[in-house]
Amino acid sequence: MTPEQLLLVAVAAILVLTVGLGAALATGVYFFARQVWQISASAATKPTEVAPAAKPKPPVSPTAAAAPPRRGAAGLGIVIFILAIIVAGILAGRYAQLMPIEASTESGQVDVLFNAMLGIAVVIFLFVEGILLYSALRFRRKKGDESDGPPIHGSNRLEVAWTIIPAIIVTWLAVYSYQILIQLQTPRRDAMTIEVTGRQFQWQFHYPDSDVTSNDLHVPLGKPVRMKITSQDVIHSFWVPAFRVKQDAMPMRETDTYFTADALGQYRVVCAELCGAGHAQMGLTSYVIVESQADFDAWIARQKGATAGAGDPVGLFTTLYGCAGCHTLAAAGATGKVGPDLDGIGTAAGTRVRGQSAAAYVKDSILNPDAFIAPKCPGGPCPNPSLMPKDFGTRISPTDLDALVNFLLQQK
Amino acid sequence: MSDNAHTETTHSAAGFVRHGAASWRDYFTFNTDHKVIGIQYFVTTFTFFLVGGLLAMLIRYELLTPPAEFSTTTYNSLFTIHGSIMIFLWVIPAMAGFGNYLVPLMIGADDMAYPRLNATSFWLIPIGGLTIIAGYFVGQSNSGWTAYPPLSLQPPVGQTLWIVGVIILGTSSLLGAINFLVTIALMRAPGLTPGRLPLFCWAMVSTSLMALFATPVLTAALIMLLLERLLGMNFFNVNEGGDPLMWQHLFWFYSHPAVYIMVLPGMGLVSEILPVFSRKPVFGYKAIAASSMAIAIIGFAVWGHHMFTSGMNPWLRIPFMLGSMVIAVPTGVKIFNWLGTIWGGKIDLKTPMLFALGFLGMFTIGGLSGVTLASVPVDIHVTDTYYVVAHLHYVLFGGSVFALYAALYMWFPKITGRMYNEAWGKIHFWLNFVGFNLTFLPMHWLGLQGMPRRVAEYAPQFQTVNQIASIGGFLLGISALPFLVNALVSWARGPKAVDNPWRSLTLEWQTTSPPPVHNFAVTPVVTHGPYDYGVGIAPTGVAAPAAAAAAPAGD
Repeated sequence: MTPEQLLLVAVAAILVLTVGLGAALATGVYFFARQVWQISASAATKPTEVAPAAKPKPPVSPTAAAAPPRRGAAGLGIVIFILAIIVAGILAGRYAQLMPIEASTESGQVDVLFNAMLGIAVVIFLFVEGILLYSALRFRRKKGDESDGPPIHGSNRLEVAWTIIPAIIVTWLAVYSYQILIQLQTPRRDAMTIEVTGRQFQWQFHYPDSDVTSNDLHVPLGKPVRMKITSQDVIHSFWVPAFRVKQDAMPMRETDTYFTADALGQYRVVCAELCGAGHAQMGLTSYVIVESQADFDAWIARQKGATAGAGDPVGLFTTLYGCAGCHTLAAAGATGKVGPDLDGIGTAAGTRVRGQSAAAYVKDSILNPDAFIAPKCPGGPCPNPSLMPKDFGTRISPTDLDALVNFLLQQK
Repeated sequence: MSDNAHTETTHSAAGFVRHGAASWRDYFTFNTDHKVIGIQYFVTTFTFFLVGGLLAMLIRYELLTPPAEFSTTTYNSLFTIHGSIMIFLWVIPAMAGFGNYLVPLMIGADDMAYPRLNATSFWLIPIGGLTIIAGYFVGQSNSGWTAYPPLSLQPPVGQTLWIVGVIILGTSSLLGAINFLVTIALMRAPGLTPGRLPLFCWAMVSTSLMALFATPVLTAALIMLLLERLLGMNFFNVNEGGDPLMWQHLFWFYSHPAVYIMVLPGMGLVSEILPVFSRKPVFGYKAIAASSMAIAIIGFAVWGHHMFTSGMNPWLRIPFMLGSMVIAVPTGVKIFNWLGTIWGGKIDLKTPMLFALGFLGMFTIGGLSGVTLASVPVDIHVTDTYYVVAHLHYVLFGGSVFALYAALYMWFPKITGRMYNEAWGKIHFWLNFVGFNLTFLPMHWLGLQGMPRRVAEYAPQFQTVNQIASIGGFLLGISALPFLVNALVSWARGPKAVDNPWRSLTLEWQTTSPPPVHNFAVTPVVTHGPYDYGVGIAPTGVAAPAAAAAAPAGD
């Protein structure tokens, strides 16, 4: 944030706060003074001036006649009601657990903010619904009563109160949210960078320091992480509910987000932005694994040894080229449900196009997917044009392609 | 519809243009009578509502179990068309239907300012609607009602039809907005000063201003998307110098104001209903009218809260957060003033009042969850989840649809000249109320816990709560039946209503029910405010003989 921006925000916040708080204080003092004055005045005058109190207005309606003696009781009722809903709000804010497990340092901050808002919302909710229900029960029209209620057109004092009080609440919430936000989006100096690429329909994680690629996200416990996020095709959204972290993956563009995992375990990585037929699957097949630094280092070392290449066709299929995001293939443990099932493709390939060998067919299907549309996809007949990326020709190396074709031909 | 027999049909020189309805056939013509157009809107949009509701039940059926039953492409089309129908073919045009029927009557005018433009606005609705639905035959659009590129640039031909359909519907809304503004500005009866304008008309002014300034932006964005799809113009393609974020800005520049376009008229309808059934003046008339205008202005400065995780300039999130928080204040002012209106009144819990109070209670929940969504750190976690689905349904169903039901019951005797059945009305309310909360309340929890929106498959831990929501959804679907039967049977053979069964003071009730072709026998002169209850002003037309005397040409 530049100094000018900071100044602007500070000035705006101070202005809003001074005006709002000043007005609220003045209103509060005014109401309090009035109430005190009224109570003492009525206490002083009541015993002596019973008759004049009843005199000015002849009892036009039963409610008007009943109103003066009830006033004290009604006031007490309102005070008890307000106190009760505030207590309910505090209890909700303090004890409600609507958020999932917290597994990052950020999640605690977000949850405290959410619960503060929940507490305030509970108070306002109970206030509105309480008055609503009370009115609907207490102020019912009697059968046969065709008369109107009192011609009250409003109250400027109340208008001011219910403008100023909510204004103060939302201003405070905005300032509080801003304080949390600034912590969330401030870059961490010692952060480890992990690249994540969204693609239809799979996440791919890449560790630039060790050049390891993976479908699951491994992070060391307590280490600040910077996710460098991008997409290969449409918009996806990288979301780890347990971390309270979400950031859209934009095509050809980098966005980032920070987190520090602080609880060992395995949590879901979800795609939160509709990205097509495999959108739901993309949120069900990928995990973040939080492990100790030693376990993490060991995992990196293992992956380095087995980094997907021509010698590891399963890795090519599941990780490097993302075939598993759409296709089912038992040999690779893949369960994608968008494109045709590839179990048994080694047998079927030779029967698809007349005069084309099985190997030529598989190769052509990768490089030029719409040349022949497979008859059956998991959701019914395969769409034409297909959803398969058309650009493998530009990003798959000849050795990888051969390895992949050979691997698929073995799936009899 | 024999009640309309006393109205007469006039044929204009143009031949196909008609004014007024003498038989049911006239409702299928290019008719310039605002009351006929209003009824055309109600019947058409409610039909689309039923279609959209059936799609919603298919969605809830799919979500009964974690794995996908339908193909995921089919499912994506289901919620795309559900959302598009509910927004563009039900709530927005149904509100315009009430604007059409009520505004001229409430201001003492004989029709809208531009009757032919008005008929054009209506006939664009079925055309646009069928264009969108026609996608079913060629590959339905499945990129959601938000149609974010690059996803919306991918194959199905139905996406192109969807774009064309929404352009047509936006044009209808735009023409309607111009018509309402001119009508309310220029055609008020003598004595109907701005301070005596019914609050529904104030709501239509603010709504129309929003539609007027926001809709062209959506239309422009849709045309760009269409040109990119058809001619490869690459407005949203990063590789060719475009930007998908631009679509989001343009889309939400319209679509956030559109939320208020959908709910402000509902607030206006509720502001009409509460004083009548509380027998009290509306509390804080000026505050309610002014807060509508405040919402119309601030509503243009909050669209970015839909894009907090989109990757736009992160600092831009702060002003949008402030705007989105501040807009809760005028909304709160309305809620508190409505409470002030019913407080100390003589409340009659007839069906319209039940729905209006239901609106008040449910919209409050949507407003409160809206504030939590304005807070950037919380929104980052819950955006694009079921929490947002819950929030938007509390605003658009608990808000707009409850208000529409309240209004359909309230003005049923005005529109048809007959009374609906009160007992079935109440049964409808309670089924609707329980079904609604059972469906959407649990969704808050689903979203907070980590279930994203727009998925046919979900993690097994969410199954029980999804099943509760689905049961609620089916109950909500069933709850439309008592309304449908009640409305149809009462319209055909319900007991005849007096002209002013609710003893209301607003102008539309001071003529016959249904009104004659030109609304008022004599141009009314307004001498008091619309809600001056409790000072001894006698509403007219409350007893049957008076009704007969006021409409000698009737029946």
